[in-house]
Amino acid sequence: MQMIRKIIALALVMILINLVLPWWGFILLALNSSWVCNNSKDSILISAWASVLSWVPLLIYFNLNGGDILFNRVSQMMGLLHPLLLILFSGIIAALLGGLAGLSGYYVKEIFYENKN
Amino acid sequence: MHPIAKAGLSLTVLFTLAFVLNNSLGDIPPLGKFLSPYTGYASLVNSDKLPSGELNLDSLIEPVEVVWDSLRIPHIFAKNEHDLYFMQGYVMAFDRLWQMEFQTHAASGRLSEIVGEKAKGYDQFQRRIGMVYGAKNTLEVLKQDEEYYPNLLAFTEGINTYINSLSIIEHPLEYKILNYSPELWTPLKTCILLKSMAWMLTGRSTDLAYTRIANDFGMDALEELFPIFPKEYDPIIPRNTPFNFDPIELNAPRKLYQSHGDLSQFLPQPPEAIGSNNWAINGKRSKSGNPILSNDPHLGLNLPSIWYMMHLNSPNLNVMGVTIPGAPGIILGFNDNISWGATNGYDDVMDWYDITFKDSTQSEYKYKNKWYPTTKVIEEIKIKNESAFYDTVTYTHHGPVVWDHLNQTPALGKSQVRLGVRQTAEGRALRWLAHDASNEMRALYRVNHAENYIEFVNALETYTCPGQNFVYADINGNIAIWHSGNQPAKWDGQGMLIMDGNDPRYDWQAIIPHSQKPHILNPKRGYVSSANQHVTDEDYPYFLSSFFWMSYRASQINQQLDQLKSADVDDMKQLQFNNINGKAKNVLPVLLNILQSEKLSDDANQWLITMKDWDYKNTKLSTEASFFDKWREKIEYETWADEFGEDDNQYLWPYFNQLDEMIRFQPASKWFDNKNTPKKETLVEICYITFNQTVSELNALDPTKREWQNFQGTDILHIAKIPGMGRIDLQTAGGSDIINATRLRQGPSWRLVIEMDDELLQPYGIYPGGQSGYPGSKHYDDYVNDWVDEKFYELPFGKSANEIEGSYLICR
Repeated sequence: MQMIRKIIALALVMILINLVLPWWGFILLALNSSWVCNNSKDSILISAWASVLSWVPLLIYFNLNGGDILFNRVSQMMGLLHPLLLILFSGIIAALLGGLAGLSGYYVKEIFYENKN
Repeated sequence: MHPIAKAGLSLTVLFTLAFVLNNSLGDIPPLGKFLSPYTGYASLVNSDKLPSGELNLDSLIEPVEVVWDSLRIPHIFAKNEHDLYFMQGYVMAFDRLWQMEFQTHAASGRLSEIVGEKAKGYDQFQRRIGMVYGAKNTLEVLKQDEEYYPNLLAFTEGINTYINSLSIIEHPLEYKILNYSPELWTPLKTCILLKSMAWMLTGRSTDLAYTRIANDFGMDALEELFPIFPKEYDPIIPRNTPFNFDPIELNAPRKLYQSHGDLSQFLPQPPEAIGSNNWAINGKRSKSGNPILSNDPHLGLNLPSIWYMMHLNSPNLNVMGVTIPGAPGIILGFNDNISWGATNGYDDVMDWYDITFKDSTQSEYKYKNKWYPTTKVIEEIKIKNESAFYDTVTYTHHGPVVWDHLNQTPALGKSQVRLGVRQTAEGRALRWLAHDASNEMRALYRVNHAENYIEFVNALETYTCPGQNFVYADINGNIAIWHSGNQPAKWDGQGMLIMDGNDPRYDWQAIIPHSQKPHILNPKRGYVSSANQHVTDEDYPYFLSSFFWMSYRASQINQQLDQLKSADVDDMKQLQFNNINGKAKNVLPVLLNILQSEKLSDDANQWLITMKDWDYKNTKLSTEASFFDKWREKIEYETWADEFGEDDNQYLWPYFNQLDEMIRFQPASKWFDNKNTPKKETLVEICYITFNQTVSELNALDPTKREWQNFQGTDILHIAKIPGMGRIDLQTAGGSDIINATRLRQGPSWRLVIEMDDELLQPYGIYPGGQSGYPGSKHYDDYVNDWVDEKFYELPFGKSANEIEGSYLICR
């Protein structure tokens, strides 16, 4: 439960920061997610899911609200046949970047722990 | 692993991945940036929504009203011309920004900046034919034009106001796909666009092909197979029309210069019979007594469409029609008093000269047997992610030396060389009318304002290139055609072959005076028409071109118009969709008569019966049209491939009308003989071989694939050929050399029929596309289905904003 709360909180901050920073803004947040995580697995999961949440629902919203022609054309262009596959693919990219950032952030945190010990 | 190493490795992988996804990889867009809903394609959803209510634009002098009707045609009502052209630029950019920018990048040889190294050859070619050189010359003239130039500046300012209003996130889709940003518009860019139009319409050059044929087969063969005036043609200015003027005297050489042959392998055949139709009938032939004008220019079809519909209104102007995104005013259309349309004129305004240089530095060249200095221009071709490429181009007084070395631009594959212009040889200069300083924009501006025939004719005086057959009709009952463009006055055959750059008699000696250009006003027969065919008969004193399209479409139009005694708008629309195949009508009876049923298989006999019953119409469901098309192709191959090469890149195959005449009148012509066999073939052998081949090929197809709509069909691709952004497999009727000239990649790019009723104009139009350039808009291609279904739209027109229904915007 606590994990879900962390994911949602992180996703909300990511959404806000994406309105200001370039597209890679959410990666910076994912890098810092480790400070609220106790192990690398949590860090990856929380960052990855938060990243997915900051992208996918918005993509679905756009697709359903005036974006059907555009999503169709872009999925054809990318050889993805259907807008759902396009959204899924986008989710995977977000998860990959977010998860990797979560892991990297956790490793950085470990350096500090090592030093303290 | 040490923690620092672990963190370092992980971060490196992360940053590399983020960096990769921030950049394009070959043809793949920068995926991170592109897929992110905050910055990518998805952020453009609903970006085609029209502005409504009130918009503040500081540059406007007085308020401007814009109404978009249900076809999304903008109707702009301004109180002065500055505001009118400013708003035209703004509104056009709103719908078509990427297209107008991309087309100018492509025309001026700057595609490598966007797509990288692979466009280098193309860019180099665009630079070397002098596209920008011509545009700069034209801009100098425009700058002197105190009346017109401010309009172009206002137009530019309008486009730039729109560009500056966009954040990066709002850049149109293709910028995101190709990963670049718009730059500001300039008047030069508009000039470049018009020059690229000139290239599209006058870039057909057969000088090298003809020279080779003359060298290898003899002048007799050239004159026989490529006659300047074939036996049958139906000129725009009817035969025996007197030309009552004293022509300019031209100094022609007595013996024609013979250029050496080239070794080049590249000489593609021009596409078959794309062109345009236009005609106008007067009160003698119309039901209402009003003139009716019709025009359908056939061009390469793309999305976004080459045309954009607009209605422009200011106190002294009320004009509507289509223009090219990036060009101010209206190019083809109508105003309260007159309407006009165009077909391509096909004058030969692209000539090649052999140049003798003093040495390999190309700093001096021989002219009138003296040495003259050349000019060198260094072209910088910027390439995405790479260092720039510098190319030095030598200019003589004729024009640029387009090729320095054989096969100079291998990147420019055979299929991309347009219309056989690749005149590969060391030191050959190009003289092209579009290099000249000219003021087509002023001409069109004055046509937009013209209230009667005299003003229309005067307006065309500065119209230079590409030469067009302008059809005209007005509310006073007049109809006319002017073959316009400031074409060189040429001696007979001048520029048909590659010429001597040393001898001034080969130079263009004069321009045809405006009053001497072929034209016709209110002819007795009650109509005027043109379809890219011969302009005049042999009595016209100047040589215009060695090539016009055969008269198949023209004759068909004239035959149909001859029969119409009280035509209305619907008759004119229907005539645009006429599918009679003139080629088939001429040759098919002869060919089918040769075939004896006892010498044919059962399958072949079935086709023989089917073909004998054909009404010669290329309708959507016709299988005969498919059969004939395939058969014709095979007869052409069997006749010409043995002499002129299999893949027609060594020489040019003679045009179909030549074969048509041979089939009907010279079945034993030596050209039918296959010189690779000892036997002497005639038309009879060719007829049997090709008929049987066609039968087996057609029968191997699925029955629905034999239907003409699927056999030919039409594909409208995205301008940058981005997959998923075009419309393919459209089921169309028509074909080349048919009035309804719809083909796989070309066709009627704009259709207009208008009745010139002085009480109320009745305009109808359509083009295969949509007003919005945004591929996510339903208005991106919303005309396409209706275009395929052979429909027209009634165009809303009026004198004030409250006469137009639609989405209303006021700008202050």
